[in-house]
Amino acid sequence: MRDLFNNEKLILIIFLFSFIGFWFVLPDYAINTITLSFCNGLVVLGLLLLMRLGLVSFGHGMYYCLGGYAVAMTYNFLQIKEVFFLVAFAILTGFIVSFLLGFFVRRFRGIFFAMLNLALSMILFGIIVKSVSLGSTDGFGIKDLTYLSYTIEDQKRLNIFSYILIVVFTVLMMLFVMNFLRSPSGKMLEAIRENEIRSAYLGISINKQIHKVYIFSSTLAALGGGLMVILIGHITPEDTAYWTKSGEFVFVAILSGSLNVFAPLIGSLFFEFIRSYALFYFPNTWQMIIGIVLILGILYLPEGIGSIFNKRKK
Amino acid sequence: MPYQPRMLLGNINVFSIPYVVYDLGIICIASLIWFSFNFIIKYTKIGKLLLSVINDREMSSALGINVNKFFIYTFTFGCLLGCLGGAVSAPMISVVPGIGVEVIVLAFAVVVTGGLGSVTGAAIGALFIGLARTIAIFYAPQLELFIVFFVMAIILSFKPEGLFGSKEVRKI
Repeated sequence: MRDLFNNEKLILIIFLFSFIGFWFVLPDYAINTITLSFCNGLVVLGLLLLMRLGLVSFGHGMYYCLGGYAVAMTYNFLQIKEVFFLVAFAILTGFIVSFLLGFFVRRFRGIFFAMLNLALSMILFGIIVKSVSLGSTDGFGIKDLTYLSYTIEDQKRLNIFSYILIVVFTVLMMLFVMNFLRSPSGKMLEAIRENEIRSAYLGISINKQIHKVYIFSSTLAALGGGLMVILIGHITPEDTAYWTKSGEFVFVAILSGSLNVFAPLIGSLFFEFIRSYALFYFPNTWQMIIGIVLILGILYLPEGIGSIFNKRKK
Repeated sequence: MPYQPRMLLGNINVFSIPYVVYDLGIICIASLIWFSFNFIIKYTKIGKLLLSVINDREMSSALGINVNKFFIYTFTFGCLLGCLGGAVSAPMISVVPGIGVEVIVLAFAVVVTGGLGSVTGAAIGALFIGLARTIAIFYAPQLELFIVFFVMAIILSFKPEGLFGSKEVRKI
């Protein structure tokens, strides 16, 4: 039984099929919340990688925003309606921007890293809000999409194609992250977090590693943003690049911890459902509920939601 | 006229520019706190013990300092200063719930610009950030949204540890 639980890939396959199965069981509102939290979960998955390094970014909303705008603007300006092309554009944008900014960001640690990312995301927010050609505060919307040149008639945003697309992409990324964390270069992350100088003397190129992980995590965030636009069909700068959204991601990342790759997704699902139900039952005090949840989480699960599944091997 | 506590002390002319006395009072309070904190940290026993706790928690506790007590006191003082800041600025701004959300990000920006662990750095950083924001609002209002972070990013790119921060010695 224990071997079964230790086999993460098997759990991942069960995870994938159970969520595909949920489409036929759960009501629409629950499916919508699940899909949205998967999009956000990808960003938190990216933050998990940085947390393994001991870094926290208060500006991952920037890549979420970039991915979303990449999808929305390609759709609107280039008239490309194929979903896979749009997602590829989102990933490419996240990759290129994080590759360039990584040279600047990788020199910083701790709060400086967090605040610098916040600064970059606020600069992007300012640029978007103040330029009319980028949609200003209205943002962009997208309409009908094609899935491998197959068009669905009477299209709703949330249909079985977009749902399966998002779930499959999320699980694929979880698999990538899982494999990365098991590879030698993934094992280096914890070494760097524990002691930078010693790892440097052992022959690890610290800046290169940080740069690599930064690109990886930012690309995940951009993918999350792109999928979010495909789901919701609209993007505004306030909901993505403004620092409160990034704060929300960090909140979920702290709540879910960095023990395994399931934690970010479960944490994100947990957060979205708590928020929906809190908004529904306590419309005036929902922030209080979320605050209490975080306090309880820190008190009773100091290593995050992930510690429910596997206790860290001492 | 609604009740305006800020105007109760009246105006004063500084170099023929009318100025609200209350605002000058805030500057006085801030410099007083700056002075006393610098004094306490640099020249008293408590300040020196505090610095040792900050630098090496385990070693300080091995030398007989009650580390937990220092954590509680430092946290209490930090909260106290936060309260004071809110109290003195309340008459100048409109007080709404969630007012702290905007302030905390600015405060982080100021601390990072000034350098961690430096009282003078925080003061100078606050001046930098505040002036940059005011100048931006006056000359180029469209930059107002991000000028604070822009200034911070530029300063950090030249001095990665902040204006007055000391280079961190990493432990092997």
